[in-house]
Parts: sequence; C-alpha cells; structure tokens
Amino acid sequence: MTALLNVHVEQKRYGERTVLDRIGFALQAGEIVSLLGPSGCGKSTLLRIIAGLEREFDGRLALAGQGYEGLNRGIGFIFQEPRLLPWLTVAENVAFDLGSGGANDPRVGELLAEVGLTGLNNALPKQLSGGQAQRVAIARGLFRHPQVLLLDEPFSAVDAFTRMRLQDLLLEVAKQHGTTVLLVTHDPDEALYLSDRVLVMSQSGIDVELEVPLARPRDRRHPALSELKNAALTALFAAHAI
Amino acid sequence: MTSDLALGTLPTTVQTDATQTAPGQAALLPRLGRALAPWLVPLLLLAAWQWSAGAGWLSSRILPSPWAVAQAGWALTISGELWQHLKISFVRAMSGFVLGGGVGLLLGLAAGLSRRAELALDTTIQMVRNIPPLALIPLVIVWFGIDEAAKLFLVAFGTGFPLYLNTYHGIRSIDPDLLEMARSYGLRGWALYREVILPGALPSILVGVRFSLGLCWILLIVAETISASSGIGYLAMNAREFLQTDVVVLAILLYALLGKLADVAARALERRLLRWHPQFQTA
Repeated sequence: MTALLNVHVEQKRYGERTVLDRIGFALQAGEIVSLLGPSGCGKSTLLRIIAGLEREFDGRLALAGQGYEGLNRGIGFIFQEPRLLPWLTVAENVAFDLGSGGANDPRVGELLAEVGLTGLNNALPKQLSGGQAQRVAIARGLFRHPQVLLLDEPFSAVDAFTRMRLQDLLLEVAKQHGTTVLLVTHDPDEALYLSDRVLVMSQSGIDVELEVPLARPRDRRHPALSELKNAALTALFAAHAI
Repeated sequence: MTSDLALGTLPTTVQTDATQTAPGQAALLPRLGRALAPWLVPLLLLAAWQWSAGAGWLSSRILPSPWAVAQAGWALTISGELWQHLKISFVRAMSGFVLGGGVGLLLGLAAGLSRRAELALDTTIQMVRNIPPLALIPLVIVWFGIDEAAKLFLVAFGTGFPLYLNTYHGIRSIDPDLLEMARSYGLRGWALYREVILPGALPSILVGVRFSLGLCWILLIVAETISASSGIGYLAMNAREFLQTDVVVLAILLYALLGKLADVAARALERRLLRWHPQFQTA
C-alpha cells in the first residue's frame, strides 16, 4: 500500500544554520499524525515545506504518488491564528477559495453547521470569540476538500477548555471528511489525544515514533495516554530538548 | 363567560400598549439632548458676542455683531452672489483635491507595492513634502500667473502628500500573516492586491482622505486671497477693501462650515467602508 503523503527533506538551511537535516516520513490515508517537539526544532518549517509555503529546500514531496513542488490544492493549511480577513463576513471567509461571491455556495452553510456556527454566515470576524474564529478557519480549511490537512499549533492561542472542544471538533470533521491530518504541536497531551502516531522531534530530527493504539472516542484520562506521555518526555529528555 | 374573559383581557392589552410607548418617549429626550449638546458652547459664544456688540463694547469696525453678519449673509444670498462664490470655491477645492489626492494615491500605491518605485520615489517625495505650499506662491504666480491653474496647483500640491503617505504606510503595514494566508490559497498579482492589499490599506487611505479634505480648504483660502476675482476668499478680500467687516466674518464662518462639512463627509465614508473594522461600532 503506497502512502498518501511522502515527505523527504534532505536539507533545509536558513543562511549558515541547518534547520532540517535528513528527515523523512509518510502518512497513510485517513491517518492523524502529530509532530511533537520544542520551539525551534524545525517542526513548523517542515510543515510549511509540505504546504508549499517554503520552497527553498533539498528534498522530495509526493501526494498520492505524484511528486509536487510549491502549493498543492490537495493540501490545506490551518495556521496558529485564525487569519480571517476582517472585511469579509464569516461566510465569505469560509468560501475564500472561490473569491468574491462564494458566500452563497451551499457548502458554506453545511461547513458552518459542522463546526457549530450555524447562522453566523453574515457575522464579521470582529464579532467572534477566539475559539469561534478558529472554527471558521477550520471550515475554510475544509472548504476545498483537501486530502491532507496541515495544522500549525492551531489551538495554542485559546484557553484550555476551548482547546479541548476544538480538538474534539477536529477529530469529528476529519472523520466526517475522511481527511488525513498532520498536526504540529508542542503539547504532548494534545499530540497523544488526537493522533494515531506521534513523531517526537528535536533539533537532531525525528527521535522516536509513538503509536497510540486507542480507539476513538478516547478518554483523556486513559492511563495508556499518560504512559505514552512519559515515553515522549523520555525521548525529549534524551535528545536534550527539555 | 366570554364577556368576562374579554373584560379581563382588555385592560392588560391596554397596559402593554402603554408600557411600550413610554420607554420610546423617554429615550427620545436624552437622545435629542446628546445631539444638541455639542452645539451648546457655540450658541453661548454667539449669544455673548451679540450681547457685547449690542452693549457697545465691540465697535462694528472691529467685529460686527452676529446679527449684522447674518444680515450680510442674507443680502448676499438673495442677490445670488453668495451661492456663486460658494460654488466656485467648492469646485476649486474639489478639483484640487481630486487631482492632488489622485496623484498622491497613485504614487502611494506604487511606492507601497514595489520596492523599486519606493527606492525611486520616496526620498524625493519626503523632501518635497517638507516644502510649505505657501512658500511656493511667488513661483506659482510666475509659472501660472493668477489664473485658475495657480489655485489648482497650490491645492493639489498640498493635498497630495497626506494621501501619498497614508496609502504607502497602509500598504506597508498590512498584516504579513494575512498575506501569507492568501498566498497559501494561490492568490498572486492583481488578485492579491484586490482581495487583500487594497482592503487592508483602506483604513489608512481614508485617514489620508480626511487629512487631504481638511487641507484643501486651508490652501484654497490662501490661494483665493492672493489672486482671485471670485470665490469666498475673493469675497473676503474685496470686503476688506471696503471695510465690510460683516462680510469678512461671514466668509470666515463659511470656511469653518465647509471644513466641518468635509470632515463629516470623510467620516461618513469611513463609517460606510470600514464597517468591518474593530474600532468602528456596528449599528
């Protein structure tokens, strides 16, 4: 079985500094995988390379067996901040991919219902809370049916309770749309709760790969999760990342 | 039974009607008060002015009474002169604003969007910007004589810079995160300008519009007092020759009114175009 997404980065440098050195992994269709690591380990850079936002690097990317460079319509990106255009309504932001006039697309209403924002089509971003804005960003990310959804620390700017609700929302919509998810995070609990696999990263690369063999919906208090957290922390200690 | 019911329900409906109208009337008065409050101080000043002129403390050669100014205004209105001068001044101010503001906007867009244009233009514009437009008057007279072109040039010269500066600044201070988001959707070139850069720069551009609108009246006053045979500035200068202080004061008040109108227009534009902006209340 060939993987949906193949990533191989031979080297990525910023000037003299090598940020990524020989990193490679593959995502199977329908998988949820996290890149877990401390700030500065290059995990966000790696994500941006996969998204095609960062184009200067040595390596190869392939989606469904097809090599690609730069942006790819099969790959969606959700940023740390919602990054909604403040002059567009919620509906227009969700349908941003279609340009002006996309707000009347029937899929806007469906997506807003899925992320729990029914009826807010004509609201402006300034009227939304941080959590609501990130829900709109998720709806916008799903709007063009990406095969792979990349998320760069998407819930780090909201409070702990909103974060838990958004995590559950992400699992729900990923299942609904059959989307493969690659998530960058610095929160071990978030990585383990959401993912099928967690790739623990440090400056030296991917140190350890942890499988999370728990069925969903998961219990956040499950003892297996704390055991896996210990394993992740051990790996990060060993790499001198903490 | 039915009549009992009808009797029983009747007073309650009357009561709800009464409670509905009462708050409406009560809210009207404070709202009216808020609308009128800003005019209280000008009205008091006007009253004090009229009173001191009437009591003989102010010679009409120094400052005519408000009543005399109003009479002069009325006389000029029915003779049609006032309207004529107003119209000419308005057209001058607006054509200067459109010309200068348009050039400022275009240069600001160019310098904001292209590093090369910025390199080529910005230093020059920043130098020229610091020349007071009024210092150019002798040159302007030599170049354009005392024609319409001279006034147009002075107004346009002064109003261009606020729009240039604010447009340029608006484009340069667009959130880079939003640009990156738009680029991740494949937006480039003109589409990126139209969808993200121009709307993002709009608040700043409108600040420039407001500055320019205010400035164009100030420059026009000067332009019209040095050389004109029509317009409000001419009205004032001509009245000075004949010691008609009432007309002079009238002209000054007209400038104040027109400046206020320009500001109101700019604010209305902002409210309409920047409904989305966090600093504006959505009604």
